Amino acid sequence: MAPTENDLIDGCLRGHPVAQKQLYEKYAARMMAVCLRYAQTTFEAEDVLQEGFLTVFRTLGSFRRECPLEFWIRRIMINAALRQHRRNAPLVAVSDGDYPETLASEEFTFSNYAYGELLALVQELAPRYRLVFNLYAIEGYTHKEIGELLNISEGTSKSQYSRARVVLQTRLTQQHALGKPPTPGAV
Amino acid sequence: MTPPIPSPKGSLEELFRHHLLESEAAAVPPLPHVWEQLDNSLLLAQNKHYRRRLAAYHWAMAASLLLTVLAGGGWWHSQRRAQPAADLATTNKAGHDALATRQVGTAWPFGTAATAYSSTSTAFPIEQTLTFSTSSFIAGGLGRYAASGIELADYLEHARQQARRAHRASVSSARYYQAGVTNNFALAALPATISQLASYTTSAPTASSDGLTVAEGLGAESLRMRLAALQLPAGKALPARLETAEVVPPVVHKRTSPWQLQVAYAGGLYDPNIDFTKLPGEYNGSLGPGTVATTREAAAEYRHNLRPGLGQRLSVWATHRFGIGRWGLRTGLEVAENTASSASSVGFVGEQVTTMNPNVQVLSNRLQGTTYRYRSVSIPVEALYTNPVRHNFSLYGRFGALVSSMLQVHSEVDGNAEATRTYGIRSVGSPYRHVGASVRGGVGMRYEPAGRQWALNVGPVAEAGILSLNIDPTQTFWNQHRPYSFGLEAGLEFNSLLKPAPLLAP
Repeated sequence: MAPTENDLIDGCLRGHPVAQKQLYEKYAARMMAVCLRYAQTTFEAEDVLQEGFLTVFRTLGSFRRECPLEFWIRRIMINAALRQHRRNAPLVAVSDGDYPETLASEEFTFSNYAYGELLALVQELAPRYRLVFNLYAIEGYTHKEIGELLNISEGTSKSQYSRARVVLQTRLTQQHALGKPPTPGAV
Repeated sequence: MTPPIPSPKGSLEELFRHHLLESEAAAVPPLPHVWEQLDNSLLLAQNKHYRRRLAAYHWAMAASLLLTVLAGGGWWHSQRRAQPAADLATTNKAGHDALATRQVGTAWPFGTAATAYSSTSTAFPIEQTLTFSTSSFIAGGLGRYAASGIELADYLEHARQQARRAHRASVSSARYYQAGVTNNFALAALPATISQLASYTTSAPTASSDGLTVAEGLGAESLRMRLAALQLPAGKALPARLETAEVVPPVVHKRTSPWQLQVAYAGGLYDPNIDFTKLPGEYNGSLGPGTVATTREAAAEYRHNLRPGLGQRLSVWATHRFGIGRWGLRTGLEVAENTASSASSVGFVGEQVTTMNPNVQVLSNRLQGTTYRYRSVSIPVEALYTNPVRHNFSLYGRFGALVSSMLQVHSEVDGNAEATRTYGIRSVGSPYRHVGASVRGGVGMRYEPAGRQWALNVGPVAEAGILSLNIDPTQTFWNQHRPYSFGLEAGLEFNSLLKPAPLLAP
């Protein structure tokens, strides 16, 4: 019988290596997908994943079991990605490229686009645009909360998200205008 | 024929959300090397935790071992010094008794004493009714004679007189050995009176002109054994003449003033052992939506990473001695500086954390180290036990309590100058108590030279707080976390007010 979530947590708290591996195997794939959204490369995503799981095992004792464990681990992964961004931000040269200031909203047919194509587009964004886009569009944070997380103003968060959106939409439109087939998964 | 199901459509956000979130379920797991590296890091972290615990055990073992060695050394040393002192006391006591009572009732002891120092005497007649002082005088030998300071001739004459008056001793038979006559020491070295006495005793086996008889008594066997133990090794002889040896019994120097001054320095390990965790209702919720949860987690991080640091203390004591000085009560003034360290992901220093996002938990493996420095002044009161009789090395013990005032608490966060905090006595909102109390005790070795002008005390000392260091702990009194420290203390005591008293009159 597969161990329950509480069994896994209790085993990890006791330091059992088997329980630790089982917990890792249960959530590693999903969390890797989360980390890939925030990282620029697969190697960077693996670093974030490893740092996040280390934090999970180290602070598992403070998990109150009031929400699903996956939700708690996802938050830890996002925090790890934010720390990675703070460490690497001064080293990454940001180039906005040649994009219009604003674009009219467009409607997209989901089946016309593949996961890998969209993931690649997100990874190609500038780091701060990628962060804001992920936090706002995917995770559902407000711009005020994003400002507190990234230590920027709410207005800056809004402008950076707007910029990210323009870049993504432009790139999507350009790719499909050229007849570029959807790319496979980026993993 | 059913119409084709139209593909869903949506905005840019909905497009990305649809594909990125839904694909998580079908995501490919990371490569195996990721788990291998993670497993290795977990093992290293576990070993680090065990090493820290082991280091704490090692400290405790070392302190216990040091205490045991000091106590054992002091006990062994006291046992060594006690043995010759006991012999001397017994001998001197017997000698003093003899002088006081003047009950050496026969001249026989001297003759037989002389023979006793020969190498072959075994039988030694003692009249049971002879006084204790007589037999002990014989057993004590010439050293004790020397201690008495009385001329031998006078002693003999007095002894004769006592015996005549008392009529206590009767000589039924006497067994003695001529060997003493052949002993160069026995007769040649003693005054003529003894020589005459010896010849007299050897020629009168049954009765003396004094009417004294010597009979075998019940103490003969024990006396023989004691004499046998006192016999000189073969081939050795006592010197021709013996210098009068002054036997100084141990005296307790009377103190002209019961007060002593001491300066001491202590160094060791200090653990503030603070727990800043509070119940959720005890926090100020107006400092931000996420402040309560964040502060609680930061406090847990702080406690988990709290490490003891160096503690130092300089004190000045005034000691009042009671009676002969074995017990004393002392008080004084001391200043202390203690350090500790911890780490947290938000630079927690004891205050409630503000302006944090409630949806993001503060969990990080990139902790910010924090160092703490505590400065305080205290007034201690202690009871002190020492051994005023012994010179040189002896043991001491002390136990007491102190009241301290926290003058300053300074905390610094690595790489975050804005988080630096300094709390003084008058600081408002300080998380630390301004006044605290502790108990303290210690034992150790004390060295006091013969002149007793000064003394050096060295030994381990341990202190435990009665109150917690933080001002408003959420735990009940008995469940609070209190600071503690243990280390070594060295003190220099000045006895300049002490003047040696003259020897007590015998």
